[in-house]
Amino acid sequence: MSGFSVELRELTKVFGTSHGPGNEVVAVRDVNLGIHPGEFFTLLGPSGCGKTTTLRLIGGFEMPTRGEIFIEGEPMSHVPPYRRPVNIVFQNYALFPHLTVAQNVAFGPTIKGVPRAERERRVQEALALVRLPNIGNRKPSQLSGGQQQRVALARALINEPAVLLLDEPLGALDLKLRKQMQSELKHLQQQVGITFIYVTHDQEEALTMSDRIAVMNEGQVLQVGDPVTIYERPSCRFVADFIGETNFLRAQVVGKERDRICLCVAGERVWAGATEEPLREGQEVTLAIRPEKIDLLSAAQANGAALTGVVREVVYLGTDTRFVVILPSGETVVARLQNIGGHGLGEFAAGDRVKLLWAAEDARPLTG
Amino acid sequence: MRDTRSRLLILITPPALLLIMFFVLPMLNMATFSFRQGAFGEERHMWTLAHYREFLRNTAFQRLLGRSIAMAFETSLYCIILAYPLAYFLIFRAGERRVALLTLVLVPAWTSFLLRILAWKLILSSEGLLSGLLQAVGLLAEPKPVLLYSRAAVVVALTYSWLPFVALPIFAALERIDPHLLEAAADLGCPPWRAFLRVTLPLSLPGVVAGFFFVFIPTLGEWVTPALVGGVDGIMYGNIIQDQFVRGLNWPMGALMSLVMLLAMLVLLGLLVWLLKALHVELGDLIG
Repeated sequence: MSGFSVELRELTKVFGTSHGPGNEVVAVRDVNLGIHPGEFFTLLGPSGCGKTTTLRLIGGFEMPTRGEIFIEGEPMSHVPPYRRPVNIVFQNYALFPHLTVAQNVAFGPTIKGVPRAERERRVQEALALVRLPNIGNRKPSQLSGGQQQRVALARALINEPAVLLLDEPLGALDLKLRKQMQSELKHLQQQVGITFIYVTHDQEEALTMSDRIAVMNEGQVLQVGDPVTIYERPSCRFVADFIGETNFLRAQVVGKERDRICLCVAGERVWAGATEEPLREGQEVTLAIRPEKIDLLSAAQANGAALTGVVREVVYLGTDTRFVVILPSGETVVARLQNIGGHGLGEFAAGDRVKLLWAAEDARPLTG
Repeated sequence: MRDTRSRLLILITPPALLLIMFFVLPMLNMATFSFRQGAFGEERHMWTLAHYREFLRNTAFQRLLGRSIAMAFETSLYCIILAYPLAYFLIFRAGERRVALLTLVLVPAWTSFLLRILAWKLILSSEGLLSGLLQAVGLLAEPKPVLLYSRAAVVVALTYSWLPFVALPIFAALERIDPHLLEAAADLGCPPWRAFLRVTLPLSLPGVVAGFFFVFIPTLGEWVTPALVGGVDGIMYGNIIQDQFVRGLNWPMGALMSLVMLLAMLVLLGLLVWLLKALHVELGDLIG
């Protein structure tokens, strides 16, 4: 027993095409993941990264080309979807249009032969759980998108699955409803204690809801970690770029201290946090630093290790102001300053010479 | 306000006129005709219920109507039984070739209806394909017509003729089914056959019903096919209506028989629609 709720071992899915060999598409490549019981686990990535295919492999809607899927310790690769202890919420909900809401929710228990009285009780409970009582007699077409989404959730949860799979379930909702459903989903998950595997391309959604996130691209898992790790310590350029906004600067390793590294960027010396992997002196790296971690000072004020540049653009964003700064090397850096006490807004204008400062641990040298 | 009303009037007038001239008036004409003594001369202006009495007395007419209803029902049923798997295969198994294959199903329907029935006459004749085949496998000793001039020949020829028109609405109904619904059914515990009974079948039922109507309505009044391949055994209600007009020159009787057929059709279809509605509610509990 692995102790994982869901475990993927070297999972690979190759889609062939009808146009003969040589046109295969590798949708999922050697994915290894262990998902803990009761965890809210998110597969995050751009469209076409293989996250939905991974979810469909777990659900049993696709058969893996290689590798194995374990659900609660049992190998599942060749078990059809109707015998797997998982349920899925589809992006378009896939509610049965010819059945009422109550019949939709009762579908799973009906198939399993649960007696009528018990079935009706459980339907009431499931609809109450998603806060949708008293609409059992309506047809799905008479419901709003948000209501359909809740019905789809109730229809899955009524079966008390070991794992609930969610394929971009909030993608079709408007922004306000999406925010509300995010927190509701999270609470619901904590309430029922079921493992959730959640697919999304929305990094903010992933950060706010997940216990852990796996970032995927081109069929591979690039990094697995909790939201803070993913955001603060991205393992590679793709992760840093996909989640939030990041400045990337060409840099060369100059020297090392105990917990920080000295780099040369655009001819100036700057500091960055130490990395897990050892860096040699003279090595070319990419320095990643998020806009909100950078502070600006007028060039005359500051001294010490800092980059100097010229402000090219100032954009007011309400809570923050966004500055685009050009370095002598021609690279651009974006900095965001909060509009507090006169710092930021109005302090610098296009054409001003500024110094860019940050705390060493907020900047990360990336080799990948 | 007046503007929208006059615009509505302009829009609705041409179709309304068309309907009145070519549907309502002929229907009324037919209804009045059923009360006339005869079609020509003095008799045209004499009113009588004699034809109604004759129709009620003549059990041959009634039997023939019942037989035609049965034949139309059988034809529709065979069409559905053959067309459903065909449409199902095209939608769920044929992949990208589905439209090309559907076109192949429809191509025969582009030729003349008469031509296709005559082709069946040849296939079923003593020198025909079927006779030849049965001789080749030793089931038939000498050239002999197979099925020709029988009730079965009429049903076979009609089923063949109408098949594409049933396949089409079923194809359309199946095409509209979101594949995610079948995955959802599987996810909720349905093996493929239960997913078919609980999701695919109920959702494709409107196409099946449309196909049924497409065949049943014209087949009930059919007279060309029985005239060509039906012989004495295969005669249908439409043939005796035609007889009243062309041979017997008893137009009032023909009009009355047409009215009766129309009424029978309306009652039957109404009953079917009611049955389907009643059934639909409990369908899920009845099957799978």
